[in-house]
Amino acid sequence: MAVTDSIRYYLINQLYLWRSFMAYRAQALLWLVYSTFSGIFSLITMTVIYSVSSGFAGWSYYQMLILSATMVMVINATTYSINGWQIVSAMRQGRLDMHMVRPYGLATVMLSAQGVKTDIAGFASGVAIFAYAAWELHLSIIYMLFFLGVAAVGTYALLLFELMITVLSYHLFRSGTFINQLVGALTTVGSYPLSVFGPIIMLLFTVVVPIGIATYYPAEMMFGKINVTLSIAVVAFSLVVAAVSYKLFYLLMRYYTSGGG
Amino acid sequence: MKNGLAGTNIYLAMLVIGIKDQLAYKLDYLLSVIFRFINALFMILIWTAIYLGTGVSSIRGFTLPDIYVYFFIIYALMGTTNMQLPDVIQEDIGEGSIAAAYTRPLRYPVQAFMRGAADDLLIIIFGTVPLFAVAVLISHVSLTLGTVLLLLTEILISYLLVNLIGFLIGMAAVKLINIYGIITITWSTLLLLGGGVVPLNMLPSVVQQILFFSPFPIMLYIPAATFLGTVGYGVIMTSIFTSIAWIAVLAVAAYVAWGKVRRQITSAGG
Repeated sequence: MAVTDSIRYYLINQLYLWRSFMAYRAQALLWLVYSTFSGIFSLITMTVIYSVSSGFAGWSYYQMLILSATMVMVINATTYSINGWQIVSAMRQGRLDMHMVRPYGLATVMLSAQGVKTDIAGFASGVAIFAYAAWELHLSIIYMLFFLGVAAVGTYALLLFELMITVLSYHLFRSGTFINQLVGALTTVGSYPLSVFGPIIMLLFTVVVPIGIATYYPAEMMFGKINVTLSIAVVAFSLVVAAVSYKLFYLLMRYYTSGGG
Repeated sequence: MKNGLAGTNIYLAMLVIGIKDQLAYKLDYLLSVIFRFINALFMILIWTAIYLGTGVSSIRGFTLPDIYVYFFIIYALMGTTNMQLPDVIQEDIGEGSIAAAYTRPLRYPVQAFMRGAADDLLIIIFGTVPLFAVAVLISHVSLTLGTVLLLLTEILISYLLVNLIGFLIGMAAVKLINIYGIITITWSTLLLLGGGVVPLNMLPSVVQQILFFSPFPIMLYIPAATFLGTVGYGVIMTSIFTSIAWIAVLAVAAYVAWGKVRRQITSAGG
């Protein structure tokens, strides 16, 4: 199956999901408003922290805004296509089975079938805060493009990792609560410099749960806190995470049995 | 409508069914409890970095050990401000099971409350109590009977407030069907304005003054500050009386709204 066919399948599903979502218009509007809260909350939190303290050592207010806005963008970008709780629920009830018999890759099917569409508004709120902070820091376009490229590779790796963990969550717990809680924890950890959590948690959220490669390290790179060699290593590691997650996802899907057995 | 002891037993039976439902996925439930501890620890590490980065021993009256205790209590209190009621009502209306609920000889609002209370009870047992115990252990605070009673009063008031707000939101499902958006917005607002992200005394004083007339501080900040002794009795009593006034207003609103809304409820098939 050609990549273009998979993209077409993904886009058709998005259209269907958006139409379903817009069926309850008042609700849709509220969700879109709510989704922007993730950006607003991070802005308020950082502003309050920096108004009563010097904040985090080595990180200025606007640098922290960049980091937390990146987190908002990354999490919303991943949950736009993967809602772990919904996927596990759909797997348990056999609602994905019909999709799985279609001639597309299982990863394409699962990324197309679910997801939180309103997170597009959350993503936009992250972009707005990022743009504001970047403007205040007078960041050059080249630096930002480089940063966004590295963050995009990290986000792609995180997306495939979440997909793999979602299936693992289905096998282990038959429930999506775990994956929801994990995403919540990732949101907290990714909004702050990983170094504040100490070496063990820093390593954990770099290697085992790869949130750092999508948020913290790209930001460190942009602010010149890590050298070029380490920057290249982060990108290479992101690609490894993506490849391993993809392989593990397919391995786990081999043992998938739906609600009907 | 069942009255007296028989009615109470039926409502209690609903609570038991709700608990069994919640514990259907035991390992999953255990993990969600563990994540409460993990999230509290993350907040503590974040604030430790802020204190160390700033190089001060106290920020707005909170020392670093106070902050540790504060966030353990905040995460403990999130169990009592769980707000399950609107989810239950929405589910009943969305899936049409409200028709079956109506055929039972029980008042629907109490039925819905008991089902939501099952989840609340479990979270209080497995989340609130252990986190409170940790807070007591690390704070070295010897709680007086007066403080304990004051805390219990605040927690009871916040539980009533949360459920009244939850019931009013739940009734919106009669018109809107899907109210997840409103539920999530309400919960996030409660978290921010209640002091779940940053202690309220770190906000600008004007914002604090306004917030103390809202129903939110009693849900998280005031009990945590009462425990730590970082807030005066004047503020505590003002907050309690303001919250009682809110309970009265919301109870009347809920009673009137339910009287109007219940006639408009339709199940799948009309």
